[in-house]
This record gives sequence, structure tokens and C-alpha cells, in this order.
Amino acid sequence: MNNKIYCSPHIHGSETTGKIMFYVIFSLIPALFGSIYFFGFYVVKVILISIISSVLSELLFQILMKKEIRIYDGSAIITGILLAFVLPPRIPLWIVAIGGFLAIFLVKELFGGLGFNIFNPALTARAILLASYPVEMTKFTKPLDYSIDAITSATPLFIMKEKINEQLPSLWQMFIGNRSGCIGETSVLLLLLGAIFLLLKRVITWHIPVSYILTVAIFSLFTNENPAYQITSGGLILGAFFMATDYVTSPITKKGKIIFGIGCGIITFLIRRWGGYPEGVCYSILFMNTLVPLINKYTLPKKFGSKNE
Amino acid sequence: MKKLIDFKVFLKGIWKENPILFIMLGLCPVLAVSSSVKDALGMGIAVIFVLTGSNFVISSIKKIVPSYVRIPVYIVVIATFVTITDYTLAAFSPQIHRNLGVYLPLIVVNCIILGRAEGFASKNNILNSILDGLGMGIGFSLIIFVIASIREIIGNGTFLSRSILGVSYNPFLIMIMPPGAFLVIGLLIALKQRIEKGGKEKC
Amino acid sequence: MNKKEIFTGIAVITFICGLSGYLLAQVYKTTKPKIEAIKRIEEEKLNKEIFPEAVKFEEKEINGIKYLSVLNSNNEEIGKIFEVKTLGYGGYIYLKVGIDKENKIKKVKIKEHNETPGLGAKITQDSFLNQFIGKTKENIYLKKDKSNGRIDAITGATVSSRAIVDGIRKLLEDIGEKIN
Repeated sequence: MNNKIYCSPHIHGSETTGKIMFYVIFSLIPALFGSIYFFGFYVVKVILISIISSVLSELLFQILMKKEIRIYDGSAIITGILLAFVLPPRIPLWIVAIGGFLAIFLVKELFGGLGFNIFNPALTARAILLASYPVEMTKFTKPLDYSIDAITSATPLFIMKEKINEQLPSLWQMFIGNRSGCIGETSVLLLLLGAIFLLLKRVITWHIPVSYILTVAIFSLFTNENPAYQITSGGLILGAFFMATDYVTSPITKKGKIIFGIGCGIITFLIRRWGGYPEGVCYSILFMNTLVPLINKYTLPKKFGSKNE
Repeated sequence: MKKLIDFKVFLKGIWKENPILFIMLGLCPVLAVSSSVKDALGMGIAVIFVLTGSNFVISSIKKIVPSYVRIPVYIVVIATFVTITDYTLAAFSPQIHRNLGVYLPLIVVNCIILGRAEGFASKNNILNSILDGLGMGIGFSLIIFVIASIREIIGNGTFLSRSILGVSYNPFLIMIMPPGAFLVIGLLIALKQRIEKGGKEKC
Repeated sequence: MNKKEIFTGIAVITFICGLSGYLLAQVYKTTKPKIEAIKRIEEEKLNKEIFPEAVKFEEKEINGIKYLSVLNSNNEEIGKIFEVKTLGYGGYIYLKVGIDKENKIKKVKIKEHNETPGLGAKITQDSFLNQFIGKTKENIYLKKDKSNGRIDAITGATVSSRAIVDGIRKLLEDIGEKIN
């Protein structure tokens, strides 16, 4: 038995971290403007509070623990934006602030900071908030209704799962993002724009997103769900390109990434089809996060000269 | 540890070798009943009683019990104490008895009790074994009380079932769900490590 | 292991078990009357909470359904109390359901349960149970399960809430079929 404990690997040195973080932030900007267009000015407040809370939490932790102050690397800003993206559009701002604190303080810094966290901070924070404030976290509003107490509207996944009496948005609406859902998850078009940019800059690779989305599509085909709706609804695009590909919490090798993507796809599908919640992207990525060390262990090439076990 | 009475034995259970934060045995009841302070206190008292009693008995009979039958003997002794506690609570404190539910009889298989019996009482004199049982039991109770206080206040806005954060408080529900117990225990263990090692150790 | 060792082993275990058995028998004997008294008092208290004006309760049975007939000071039946057993999250939940003369729910009380403390255990709170007062079986669904449901589930404890709703609805259906 090999009992050595490996820390999560740093993929990149600190010099390039800033650049990569800048690319990621830049790639999220189209979706960010899209969300303001679809859900109104209130989401700007949500995003700002989320970023401020994340950065301040990081600063607070690093001061408390007398660590080097590293809030300038941009990672907390990305966590802040991504967290805001997975919250409902009319979420009370104090919940957003708690979410930012949880994501950074509990999930990232307590585990050792950038590069050491086991779970995706933004998604873990969302999972905790969903368990804690189920009423506020499942109140989705109608797109293009800018008033502060906008009309509530079921998400497409909820309509499909519970078969309630509400009109599904057309596929075109789903594609451009004119549907109810979390702040940053609705516009497939704008998210893909950002994703293509990241792929071109080689910040992310195609392995996880493609295997993830294909798995969901194939399972949908076999169970008489409409694959096009399954792909464009919920947080699948956002999750597959921007969350599942997080360096720290995804496998290193190509083979590992594909296993990771397929695993996410299967769990997402299972939760959507039979689970208690209509959406499973968040939990599937978090679940697969726990398997990353195992996947790495079996897919990393053997060291030269190391013995077979 | 050849002294007849060694008070360090008593103190180590409370902080240094705390059953929850250091030995990390018997976490199941801690996770299960620490969502309300009242239940946690009931569980704490039950554990103190069973642990002290079983340590006392096992230490007294350690000379006459052959080592190859010791485990069944320990289990019988522990089960006896647990059953006594069960009946007594049912007779005198039915409310707590009802809330503790299945976790009260499950003290029998709580590793911390068997762990102390095997690890301490079977090797040490009677007085020290009683002290160890008391120390471990009180250490267990203190920490489960702290965990339950945090969970009940944040997760329910109440302390000992009395509202202290007011009606407008929107409780942080995850704290009274099972994950909340894991979170709080993890944070407390981290805090203990931090206090003792001063954060000098690196990954 | 030689014969002597086996013999000592058996002797020690027998002795310890015998002692423990004796001790437990004594404890059981002393606590039993007390535990039963508490159970009786609690049962009585529960029944009185459902029908405060009741004077006497009589056990009765119609078509295989057991119930308590509730009598007032003039010896007239003012209602019935049924016991319902329903599968919750942590095992069976035992309920007492009081039905008045018009076959409407008078009050619901939890007799015994093993639900998660702090979550499912909230089924015992009046804010949940009082929702059932006066309801008929058509409305005894969770709001989130059916559009004509009138019962709010306890947050985070849907399984426990649904178990009670289902148990009570089934009781009302049984009463409708077999008693009236």
C-alpha cells in the first residue's frame, strides 16, 4: 500500500496566475452583461457584493492567520463572480455576503488557500446556501422584468421535471438566455463566447466540458428527454466550462479529465431525472471533486523506476 | 503512571486528549444529538455515567478476567450501565429520553467507551480509571455542549429552546442538519490544532 | 488453549452476565412502575389535549378499526381518537388523531417518533400540527405535492411532513369506507 499523501499540485507559478485569472474574468464579461440585460440592475449589486465579500473574506483570513496577503491575484474576484452567477436574480444581498464568506473562508482558505481546496468554492457556497435558505434560493424571477419584486417564474428544468402547467421557453430563447434561472447561467450564447475565448487561449481544454455535455445528451436521448433542452437548461453550460474545469479541483491528465466529465454527466442526469432537486450540476461537480485524488492516482503515468504495487 | 491518584489523568481527557477533538472516537452520537443543547447535555451526562461506571468496574475486575474473553466481558459491563441509564432516564426524564431516541442504547457500541476500557481501565488502578472516565466524560460533554450551542444558536436562533436571536432571524439551517455537525467539529479540531501548534506546521 | 483456560473463561463470562442480569432485573423492577405511570399520564394528557372537555375515554372497535370513544359529562360521545402509525424518516411515527362528530379533524398530536432532532422532530410543534384542524381528506396533501394541498411542509423535513400527511389522509379514507 502506498500511504503517501499528495498535496494538490500547483499547476502554475505565481507569475502566470494573474494572467490566467485575467483571462477567466474577461471571458465571464459577456455573460455578465447578458445577465444585467435579462434580470436588471439588481444583479450588478449581487455581483458587486459577492466580489467584495469574497475579497474581504480572503483579506480577513490572511490577516488573522498572519499569512502573506494575496488578494491581488484575482482568484477571489473570480470566485465572487462565479458565486453570483449561480444565485437567483433577486437573492437578498445579505445571503450573497454570507455566500462569499463561506466560499473563501470555509471552502478555500481553511483548506490551505489557492491550490489546496478540495471543492469548488463557489459551488460549495451555493450548496450550503441552498440547504440553509431553501425558500430564498429557489425563488426565480421572470426574465426582462426589471422591478425589484419581479414576477416569479419556474425554471425550465422545474417545468419539465414537475410537469407543471407553464409554457416552456422556445429553444431560441433558451439559447440566448431569455428564460428564468440563476443570474449567470441562462445565456448559452454568451457563455459559449467566453468559453471559446478560454479554449483559444488554452486556459481550459475541451476534455471536461465536451465529455460532460455529451454524457448528459446521450443519456437524455435514451430516456426520451429532449437533449437540446437538457443541455441549454439549468447550469450545465456554465458548470461544464467554468466550474468543472477549475484547475485545482479537476484531474490533471486528459484521460482523467474525460472520466471526470463523464462522471459529472451521469450524476447530473441521475439527479435531474430521479433526484429530489430539479438541477444536479452543482452537486455532480462537487461529488466528482471528491474523486479527483483517486482519478489522479489511477491516471497519472507511473514514475520511472517506481515499483508496481 | 504508577501513582495511586494522578490528576493529570483527569485533566488530559478535558483538553489535551479530548475524546472528540483528539481521539476522535464516538463521533456518531456527537453528530446526531448535537443539534439541540438540551439533548447534548442529556447525552453528555449519560456518557459521563456510563464511562465512569464501566471504567470503575472493568478496572476492578481486570485481574480475574482472562484476556481472551475480555472483549465480551467489557461489552456486557458497558451494556449493563447503558441499560441502567436508559431505564433511569425513561423513568425520571422522559422528555430527554425521547429526544435521545436510539442514540442512548447506541452508547453501548460507542467506541470511546470500549476504547477507554481497553486502552486505560484494563491497565490502571481503580482510582485512576474513575478519574479517566470522569475526565473523558466531562471532556466529551463540554465539547458536545459547545458544538450544540453553536449549532442551535446559528441554525435555529435558540439556546436551550429559548429564542435568543429574535423572530426576524433567518436561521442558517445547515447548522442543524448533519453537515452542520461535521462543519463545526472540523472547525473546532482545526482550532485546537491551531492553539496547540500555533500554526507552525506546514502541509 | 487448555481445558482450564476454557473453563475459567466460561465461568467468568457466566458470572459477569449473571450479575449484570440480576442488577438489570432490579433496576427494571424499580423503574417499571414509574415508566408505566409516566406513559399512562402522558397518554391521558395527550387525550385531554385533544378533547379538553372529555370526561371519559372508552376503547371501542368498528370493522377492525380500534379507537377511543370520547365521552362528555352526560355520557354522550363527542368524538373519537384514532391512533395512526406511519413510516417517517427515522422509523415509525405514532400519531393520535381526534375526530369530532362531523368527521372533521379536531386535533392531531404526536405520540412517539424517532425523527432527526432539530429537523424532523419539529413535527411535534403546534405550528405544523394545527394546520390539520378542520381539514377534510381532499386538502390533506402537502402544498408542494398537489395543487389542492393545504399543508405546509416543515423546511428541510419533507419526508417526515409527508409521512404524517399521508398517514392522516389514509385514516380519513379508512373512516369514510368502514365506519360511516
